[in-house]
Amino acid sequence: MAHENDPHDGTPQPVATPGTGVYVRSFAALLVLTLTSFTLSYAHLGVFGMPVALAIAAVKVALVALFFMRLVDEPASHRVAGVTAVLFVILLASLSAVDVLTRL
Amino acid sequence: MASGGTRREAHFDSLERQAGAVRFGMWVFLASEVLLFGALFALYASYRATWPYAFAAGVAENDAVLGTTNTVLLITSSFLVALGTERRAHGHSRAAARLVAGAAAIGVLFLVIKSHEYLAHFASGIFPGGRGAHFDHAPAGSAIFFTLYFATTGLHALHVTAGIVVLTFSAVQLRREKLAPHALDAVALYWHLVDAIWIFLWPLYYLARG
Repeated sequence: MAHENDPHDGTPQPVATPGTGVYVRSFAALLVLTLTSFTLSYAHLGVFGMPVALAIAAVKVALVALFFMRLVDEPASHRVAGVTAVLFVILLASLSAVDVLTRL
Repeated sequence: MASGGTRREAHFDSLERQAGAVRFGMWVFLASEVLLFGALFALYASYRATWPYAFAAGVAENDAVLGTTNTVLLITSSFLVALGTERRAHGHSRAAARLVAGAAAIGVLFLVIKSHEYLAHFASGIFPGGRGAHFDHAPAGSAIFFTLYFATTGLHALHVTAGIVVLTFSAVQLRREKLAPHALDAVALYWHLVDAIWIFLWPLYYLARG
């Protein structure tokens, strides 16, 4: 059985959101970082090219997660799910590469 | 003030707790999605370490301008959905519907560009599984690169397709004022993850030429 605006619930209140300004600033930062990454890909950074590109990508994903996905306002139980998955992926990808690179 | 679609199920003692459960369930689902793509990222790391030159050459074959255009498109689409959740949270369902429909339309544009890229690869003799004339004289590892490229970007494109379907349905429901804020939140979380995954795929398959 479901209820529609019953007295126990009260009238649905506006959900807390970061506000349009936060979204606009995050979007602007994402565009600037995208342009930076694209430009740097032609700068012949050699072995540093990949780490720099991935570092910029990490910052961009952090912006998306923290502000677009509102991770910054989530309770700890919700953050654990997201952060654990990312840590496992980092572990999986880095150890896979290390395995290949250290074979004799 | 539209509050349509905001229903409290009997097993929740408040709408706030229900919305929290929806978000938590969605985060756990997204974590499983991250692990799914994580296996493909691990393969990339492992194979790139094995065939660094073939992978760099493979990346150089991809059109960085088209890849970057798609990155900008998905970021913009994600931004529109975020604005949509903001509008819906304040009861403006119809404004949210327009923003979410715009996000879905941009998703379609993303797929059009991706399809164009695939067709260009096929025309150059590059097919999944190392099939095609391109691989007759390509360095070892080139077939692996492009197979992984098709598998990973293809899986991502499937996620984009699913996202477009869900966003379109959400826009219709918002237009009819029958979608609750927490339901749109769940859809938005999924779409943001699709964006976040592409943000990592883009440098790996379009920028890392060195």
